[in-house]
Amino acid sequence: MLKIMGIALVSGLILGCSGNSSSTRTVDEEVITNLGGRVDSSITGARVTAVAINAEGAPVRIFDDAGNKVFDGSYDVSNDAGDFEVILDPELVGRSMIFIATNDSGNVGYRCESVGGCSGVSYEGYVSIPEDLDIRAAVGEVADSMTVNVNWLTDLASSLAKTVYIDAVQNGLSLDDRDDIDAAVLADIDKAETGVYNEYTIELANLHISKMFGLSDVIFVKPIGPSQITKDQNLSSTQLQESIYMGALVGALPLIARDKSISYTDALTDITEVLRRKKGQLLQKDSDNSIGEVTLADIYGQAASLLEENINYLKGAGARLPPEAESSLSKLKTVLNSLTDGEETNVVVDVPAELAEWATNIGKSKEFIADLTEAIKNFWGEDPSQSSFVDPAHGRRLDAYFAAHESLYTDVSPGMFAAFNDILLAANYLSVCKNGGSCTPGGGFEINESESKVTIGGSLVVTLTPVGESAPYTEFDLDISDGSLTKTTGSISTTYTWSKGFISDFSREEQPYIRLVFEDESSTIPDLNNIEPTQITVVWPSVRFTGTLTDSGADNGDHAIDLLFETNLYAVNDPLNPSAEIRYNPGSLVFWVRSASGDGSFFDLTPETLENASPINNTAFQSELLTSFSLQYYPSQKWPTSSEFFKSRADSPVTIPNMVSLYVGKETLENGTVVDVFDQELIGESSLIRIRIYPYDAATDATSSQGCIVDSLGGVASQCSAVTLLAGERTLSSLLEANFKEGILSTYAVKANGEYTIDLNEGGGNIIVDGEFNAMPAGTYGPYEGTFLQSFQLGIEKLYVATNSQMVKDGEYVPVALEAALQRSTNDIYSASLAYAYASQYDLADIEIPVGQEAQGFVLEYEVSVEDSIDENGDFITNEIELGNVIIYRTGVVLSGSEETVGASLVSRVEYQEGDDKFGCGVNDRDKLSSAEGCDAVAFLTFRGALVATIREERDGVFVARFVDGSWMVLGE
Amino acid sequence: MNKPAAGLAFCLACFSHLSFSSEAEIGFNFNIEASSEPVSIDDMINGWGSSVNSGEYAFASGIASAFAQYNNVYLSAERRYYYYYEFTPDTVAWYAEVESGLESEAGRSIDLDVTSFDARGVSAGYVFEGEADGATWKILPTFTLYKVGHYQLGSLSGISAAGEGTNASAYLDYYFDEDKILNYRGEEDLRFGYSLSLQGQYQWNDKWLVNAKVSDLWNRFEFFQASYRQGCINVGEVEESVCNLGGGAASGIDTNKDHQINISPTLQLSSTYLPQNVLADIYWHEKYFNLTVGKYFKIRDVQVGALASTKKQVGVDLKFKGLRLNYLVDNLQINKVRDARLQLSASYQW
Repeated sequence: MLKIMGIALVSGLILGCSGNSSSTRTVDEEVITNLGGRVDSSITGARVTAVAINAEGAPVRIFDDAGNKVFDGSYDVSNDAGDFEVILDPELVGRSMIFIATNDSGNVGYRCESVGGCSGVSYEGYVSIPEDLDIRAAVGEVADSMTVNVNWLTDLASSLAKTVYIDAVQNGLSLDDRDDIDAAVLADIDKAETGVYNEYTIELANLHISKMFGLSDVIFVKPIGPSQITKDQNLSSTQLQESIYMGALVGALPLIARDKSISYTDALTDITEVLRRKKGQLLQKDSDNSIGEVTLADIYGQAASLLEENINYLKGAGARLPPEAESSLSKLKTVLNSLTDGEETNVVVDVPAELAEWATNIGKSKEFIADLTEAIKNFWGEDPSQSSFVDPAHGRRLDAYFAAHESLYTDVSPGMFAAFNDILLAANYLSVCKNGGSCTPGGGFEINESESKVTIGGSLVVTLTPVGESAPYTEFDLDISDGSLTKTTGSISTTYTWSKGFISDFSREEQPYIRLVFEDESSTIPDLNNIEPTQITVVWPSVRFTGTLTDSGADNGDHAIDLLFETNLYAVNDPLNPSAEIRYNPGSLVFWVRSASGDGSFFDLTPETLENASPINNTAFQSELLTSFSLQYYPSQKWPTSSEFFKSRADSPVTIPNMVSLYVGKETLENGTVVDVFDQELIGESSLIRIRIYPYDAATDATSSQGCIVDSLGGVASQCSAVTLLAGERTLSSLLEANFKEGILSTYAVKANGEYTIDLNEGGGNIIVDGEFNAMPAGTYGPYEGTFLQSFQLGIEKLYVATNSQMVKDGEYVPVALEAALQRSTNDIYSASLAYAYASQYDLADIEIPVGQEAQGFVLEYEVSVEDSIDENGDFITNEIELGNVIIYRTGVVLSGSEETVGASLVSRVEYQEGDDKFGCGVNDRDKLSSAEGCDAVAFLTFRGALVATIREERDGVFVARFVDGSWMVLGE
Repeated sequence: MNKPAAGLAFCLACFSHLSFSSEAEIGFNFNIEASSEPVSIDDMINGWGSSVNSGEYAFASGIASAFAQYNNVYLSAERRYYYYYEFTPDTVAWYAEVESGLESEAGRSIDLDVTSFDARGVSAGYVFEGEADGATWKILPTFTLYKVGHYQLGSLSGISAAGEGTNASAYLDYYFDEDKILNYRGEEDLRFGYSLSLQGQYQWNDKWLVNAKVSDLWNRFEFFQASYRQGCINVGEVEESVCNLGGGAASGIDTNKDHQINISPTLQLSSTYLPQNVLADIYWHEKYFNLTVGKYFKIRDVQVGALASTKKQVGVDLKFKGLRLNYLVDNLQINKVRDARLQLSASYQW
């Protein structure tokens, strides 16, 4: 069965305020969205967090500073009345949200409503809830100034709202045949499911519970505790009655818990479990307690007697009771008397018309998936009878057009490289001449020594210009005049023209040039045959030539090609092997190719004149690359090639004697301040580094530090950085200890070779005792021998590739654009995105989702990240999280017989803990991924904004989408 | 009149515990009866190899039981495994093509029914006995109550088409507790079975001994809230799909639903001509029918029987006091066996 995972996805829809903001944070002065409510009838001290439901159907969680997973959202703490108020980001209006009351402070209690007291707490006193409180209210669509109450009845609804069908799969584990899974994980399977919420199930569940308990709206009715019924509530009569009625029901739970001698939260868990097991029903009554479950009669019974005892007590104390109190009591008793022994409730919710639309959405989303699968397989429209992302005719036309370009490139590239080479030769000859060598190289190169110029082929002039005001210099430019070189390959003669133009960031225009940077100063450019530059920069804003396209039908003809080329190459030498060749790594690279039919005058159009110009076929290809570790990695070849990326050097030495020496001491500054210093002399580094720690400044409660360059260990400092402030009192010793714990003190990066560790106790000494940092008194330490730890790799920090084709059809452009970006800091941690648009009617300079009558497109984003946290045992664990997101826009999709335009999105989340097993999970590192704790990999499909299905890989290579109604579909083939 | 040797009185086909001369008996039985028409039993479990014949069924029944009989009251506990797969020759041909990756040359109809489960049971029965006209008879009806363990019950029906790759359209009806196809985990409820069996023994003239047993004469197995899948598979190109449950290569609905089945009875019949120590027995369940004949010799104290069957099996039957081993296979190489019978039992009478 085909994998649909060409759809590798990104996340992104982390909604809600990030970072647990307190509700006092003002988001926007003009628009404040606040919601309020009550926790139970009186729970005080509970933290109520308003958490948005992300597209995954789950409340959003993040890691806080302590490494614990907490809910992400605005919060407030409930007051003595149990009331709270939360301020929401206005973006969240209209979304599904969960309000979660938890016991974070450890100081949460409910008011004792029993006249006789509650286990040692007097009437109206607060009984603490010591356990992990977690009661919720789910709302399908949040509105401004909404009232959302959170109590155990709303919690029942919230539990019921979790879709049983969808999350029935638990980490792909089957209890009986997985001996390799830790028993603790297996035990976990029986815990409550994490749950998937969606607007449909939330609304349905709230309706269901409201009906079960005879409430108009379980979320909206604010419970009034029986002990508070005499207080003025400022409510209408109907509302007051309902609130008192509900307050009694809410107050029943602690009493049920007391009767069963279990905790408040355990009692709630019991009821929830019965409700879920009976798929939303409870036993009405069980008079002889033969079944032993909490029944509706238990709840109503406790509620009625609680309310009654309060009414009697308050009457006896002479308080004036509202008549609604008696009518609430009578309603409770009526219900109680109507319950039948041994029978279950039979709550059925008539699905309102608008919720019934969900069924249509599911059906259509299935058709959409089938169509999408077909379109992905037939992306470029090779089979005109099936769906595709590009119109088949246009696809063939593009194929021919690009093939023609490729063929042109094959024809002209030898000449093109020969032309480039001429420029490099010119630089070489000039450097030889300037250093007393021959100034008549011949072969078409004419040198004018006094003007430091070389003329190539009589038409292109390269001029040497030192950079700086006066000699000596370390940088030299080779400026290339506007001019051209003609090269002939076979029968084709092509002229390459260099000219001034805008550089890649469009900040300014530049003449094409090459800049060479050298380590040592000199009055003129060194002889390039003897001394190599430490850095080479090439900036060629425009190199243009024309060619003829053939074999592309109506698109044949003259085309102009314009190249932009910029690069920074860094020289890397091996400090351990001075005679080794100096080699170059690309630090950055920008390469653009534009092609337009005609003579190239198209390239000279400005954005304004472009608007009015008649359309001609044109294509652009852009690539930009930023690498990492380009100064440290020693490549296997002199000049850069693509094979050097993510490669380790094979021949780094295992040990390096005399690798690093350290010094601890004091330095007296010019102003008399005495600072502690720590010096480091590392092999291969041209300078020694010093860290200064200033004395603690109590006034600012900060310690200053500074980095400097010194000439020798304990020597004189020069060139210091700006002062950095460290919070609190820090000493050099505490800093060294912290560095040791992080591994910084004992690990050093040796250029071209890798990271090496040292044994700080080498040669005797007790800097480290029993694995802990002991002391590093003043003195010189080392030189230490380094032992190889890991190698450097040339990485990609950022890669951006875009192509944009505009072919003319019937006098109009048909734009096709593809854009890909990758940001990868190490081989394993990266984020990538891919965007594609066809025939969109919006400007493609900034690809968002394309729209238009004929538009097709998608945006794919994928992110791999790592989060460290602490588990229950206090051990450090690393969780790898892969989040994916794709948004698809397709026109002309046939759904239920008619052509429609569809927007759909897929969000995927893969979470696993790094461990030692071999179990592929997610997209990244499938072959070697290790997950001791099971793999949680799921994708969520939303269709027209509503969650309709989850997707999991249920068998190797078989991806199954399971829909909210229990139906399923295998993706691909 | 020869009194049959005590050992011989012990049921030769070893499925009946009835014996003449004992008041009480306890024992243990272990039986496996397996037969696979298209491929060997090993291939049926591990994946089809190259040697595929036409066929219509694959069957296996394994029962391990411990029993006790005293004063005509019979009690036993057993662990039972039952597999019965029924299909058409067309289905075999199609599946063989799919497994081997060969191109299909013709369209075929696909028809597969699977019933398999394992269960623990307890049985109770009573031995009725009597004599008439020089013949003695015994009848033992037993009633067994089962608690079902794992189960896989399903049917797949549809058509396939000729051409490269897999081209098929089929409808799947599947009840299970463990999803062997995808990874659905519903929450099943309890499952039970009830079965009535009847055994009898008839001996006359000290010459003829007939044993008969009908297992599962009446039975019913109930599965409450079984995980249930209705699925429709449409891969490749077929002339006309047999179903459409939502598009895609495979789609369907998974829910939980109450279900019940009953399985066909099994008949085991043996007759022995005592003077010559020859026996013939039949094992019949659905499409599986096996006739075995054997001749017994006494070597020292051990009864040794040489057996041959219509399923081209040869085997041996050894009896010594209360112990018994019966082994019958159609191929000496275990992984090529298509028909096998293994019986082990031990009993003690007093």
